Amino acid sequence: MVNEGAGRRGRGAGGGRRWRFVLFAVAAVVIAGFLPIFPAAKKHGPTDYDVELRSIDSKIAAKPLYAYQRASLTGDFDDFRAAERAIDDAFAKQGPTADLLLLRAQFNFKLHRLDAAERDLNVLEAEIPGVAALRADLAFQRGQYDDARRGYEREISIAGKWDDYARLAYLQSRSGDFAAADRSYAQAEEQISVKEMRSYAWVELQRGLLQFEQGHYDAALAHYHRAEKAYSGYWLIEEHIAEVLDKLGKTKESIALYETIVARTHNPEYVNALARIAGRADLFAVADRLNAARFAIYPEAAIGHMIRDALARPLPRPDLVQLAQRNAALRPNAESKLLLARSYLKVGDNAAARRLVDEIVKTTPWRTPELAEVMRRAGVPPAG
Amino acid sequence: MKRALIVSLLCIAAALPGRAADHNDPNSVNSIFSDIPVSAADLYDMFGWPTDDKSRGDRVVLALTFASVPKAGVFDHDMLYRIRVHADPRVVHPNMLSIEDFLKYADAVGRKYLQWNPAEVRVTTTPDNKAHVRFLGFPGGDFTQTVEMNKALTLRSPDGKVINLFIGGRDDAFFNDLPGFFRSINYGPQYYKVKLSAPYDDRELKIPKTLLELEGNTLFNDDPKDPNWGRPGGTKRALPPGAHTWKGNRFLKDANGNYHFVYSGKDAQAGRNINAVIVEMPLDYVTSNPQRDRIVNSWGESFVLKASHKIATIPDEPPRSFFGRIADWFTNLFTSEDDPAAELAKYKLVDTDGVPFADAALSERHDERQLGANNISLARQFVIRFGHLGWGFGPSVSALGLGTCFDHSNSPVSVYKTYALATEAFPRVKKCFFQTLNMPDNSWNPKHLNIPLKKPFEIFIPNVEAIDMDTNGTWPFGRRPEDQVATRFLSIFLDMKSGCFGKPCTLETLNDPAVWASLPIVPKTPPNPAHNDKPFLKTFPYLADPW
Repeated sequence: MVNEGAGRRGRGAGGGRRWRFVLFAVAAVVIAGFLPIFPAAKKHGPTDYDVELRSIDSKIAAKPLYAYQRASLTGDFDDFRAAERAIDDAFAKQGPTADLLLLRAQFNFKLHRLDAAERDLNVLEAEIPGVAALRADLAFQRGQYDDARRGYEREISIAGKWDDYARLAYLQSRSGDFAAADRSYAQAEEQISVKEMRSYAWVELQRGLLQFEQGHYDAALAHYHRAEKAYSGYWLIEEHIAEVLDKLGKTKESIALYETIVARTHNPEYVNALARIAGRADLFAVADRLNAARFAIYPEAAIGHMIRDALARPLPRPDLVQLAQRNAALRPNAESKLLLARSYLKVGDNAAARRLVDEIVKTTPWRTPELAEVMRRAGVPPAG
Repeated sequence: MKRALIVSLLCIAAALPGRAADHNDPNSVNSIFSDIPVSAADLYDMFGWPTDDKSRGDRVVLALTFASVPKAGVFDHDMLYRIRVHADPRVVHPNMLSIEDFLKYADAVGRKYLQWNPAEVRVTTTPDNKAHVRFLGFPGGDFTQTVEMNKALTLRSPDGKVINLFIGGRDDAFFNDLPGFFRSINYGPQYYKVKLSAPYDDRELKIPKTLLELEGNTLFNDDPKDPNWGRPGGTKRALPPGAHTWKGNRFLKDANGNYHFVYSGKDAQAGRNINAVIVEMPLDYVTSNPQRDRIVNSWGESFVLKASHKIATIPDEPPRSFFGRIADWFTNLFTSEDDPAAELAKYKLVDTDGVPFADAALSERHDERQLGANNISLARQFVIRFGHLGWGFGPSVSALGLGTCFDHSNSPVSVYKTYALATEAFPRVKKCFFQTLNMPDNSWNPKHLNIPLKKPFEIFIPNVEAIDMDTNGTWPFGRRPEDQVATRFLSIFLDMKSGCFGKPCTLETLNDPAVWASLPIVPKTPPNPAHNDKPFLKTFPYLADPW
């Protein structure tokens, strides 16, 4: 998804003054410590995202679930830290109830702490809603794709909830079957009511991503706009719009949107994207500092982003392969191995990259456009 | 990696809408769980009876009630409700002796159901709190009207028939000791803070179902120090850790030798409002052959808009040019936005409601068992469930000195027993399924026609309110608002032939205070209140004004 080959672009006219201010703010705050970095985004009345966030905040006191929901919604590592503290407090007060164990398993899974998630899942009965799906997700993250598929299909046969279809759709998309994935996403949408507009927006986003990966940028944008209509103000959707605007050559609009998203989320991945699109190599340092701060808190969750950011740079960071090896050890799946293969390519070790790609093709159903691209660059013939 | 982030966001827990109601609440809208709010999709009751006033011919009243969300008299505009109606002749079922006979019956009903093409009264509402009502598929003709809410209205069908309609808020017509029912089935979420995501075993705890308190059942026995525990507006406790079972071997008795009733007889629904769709129609509007089709089968359904429809209704930002609008107009000429099937395709079914207690008692409120009339596929499950309930209620009935139809092998106390196979449970439940349910007197049959009494198997399958237009519509020949259906449901476990002091029981035996006064039990009260908290109206819309 991240375009490694993208060269520098000219800075968008008109964005420079605002961007200097943003940069100043970033630098000042990062130096001062881990404090809020960017000014708040300009708003035009409360968006769906704002309304939901406010609703969560009104209930958040002493409720680990809401703290977790907030963190999941904002993607902010400070919020995750607050959620973790809330979960720990609840465990201390209530002991290991099934609810808390499942919540902690979800939390750890989200932060890619797979072993910790599995420890809690092991003591929960499979009949508890959410447990079987999370076990299948765990299998997916460990590269046990057949187990994951069986788990997803079983959940669909039992309850057929929207998220069951969405999980299967993602696996189908990673297996290269975009048509089946889109059908499954469409089935997921059929299960969603207007009381669940964020879920609907999320699925629309996925359908857009399917189009994006196939290079159908206009179709992707149509899905993203649909998602934005369904659930307004969500940075995750806006970031994808910014990304596809860049692909469509609407660089100025893309930069402007990225600036607002970066101001709201302080997400190093987006700072990095902005740096590339705006041709601002100096921003890479900002992204690095933000990445380092995240890595210090939750290394398992941050490491993949750091690798992708590094791969998108013109020159490899010295510890790139080391990072990618660690990531592959943490999550021994095709995606991590592919990142490692890309890292080998980046440092010129084509033989190691070929071995890894060969392993992915022979042992997994993973057939993504990213894999095809790495195979091409590594000189591996296309998979049959 | 962004993909991974997005996938991880899939795990954001989404709170689903729902209240504890009397029956058939799929768990996703069942607010008895501590983390589920009340939902407009939660259907409460389906009433149906022939009008007493015959001066305008045979007329049937159908009333579907549901949660008053956002408030009584104001509907959730994302919802669609429909009352489905199919009239057919009365059928007398032959005697059945075996599970094969029962399953054949279920199969035959299933085939019959599939041939039905039920008519419907469909209701949606608009933000200005008007109701859009459609009468579809009735022999008297389809029509659609936008009407005011909270008013008793008179409409005219295309064939000139007078139809009464009320859409809006009313007093909750269900009068019932719901906490008592949940105590009888040891239903955790009524008394404890149980979340929807909690293990299934935290719902109906693995304690015998019972009408009498079990000695040492500290998880559910009445706590005099906390009289509002588990009652509306009262307390809920944290479910204590450890095994939620019962190790005792007898019913609890006080010093006077009296058993303790799990019911209080108090109305837990008093002072509550509901929203409702109430319609009164002539039988000759419902069927083209009113002399032949004397049974009006009806059930209710709630739907919520699918998200995709909401997206379609959000207008695009740029205003259309003059020529664009002309083109839109031309296109719309060939598109029917009024197509009922297209409208329904924009919604998803959430809840169904037919026979009272059919689902709370027999379907265990499973989301995937919201099959409405088409619950035939659950016939085996019903046998299994009935067997499970029988091991709880049967010994309770026997301990009180009454006779039960359930074969519990003279067990002195309720037993927690589950079945995997219907054939295993069937010998125990056979008598209950096939016995004739006696009525207390002949008032149900005002014309003194040769109408056979009902048997439980034909009440619960299919899950419809089957209104016999030649009766007064009292349950199980329909359901009148004044029927104490919860207590009548319990009567199904009595031995109707000779279970009441050697004499036949009736569906009203357990509603008789004199019976309870004579039994070794405290409190000496029928399980549920005899009357609603507000008197019902004698004229349309029949259900009392809201509080």
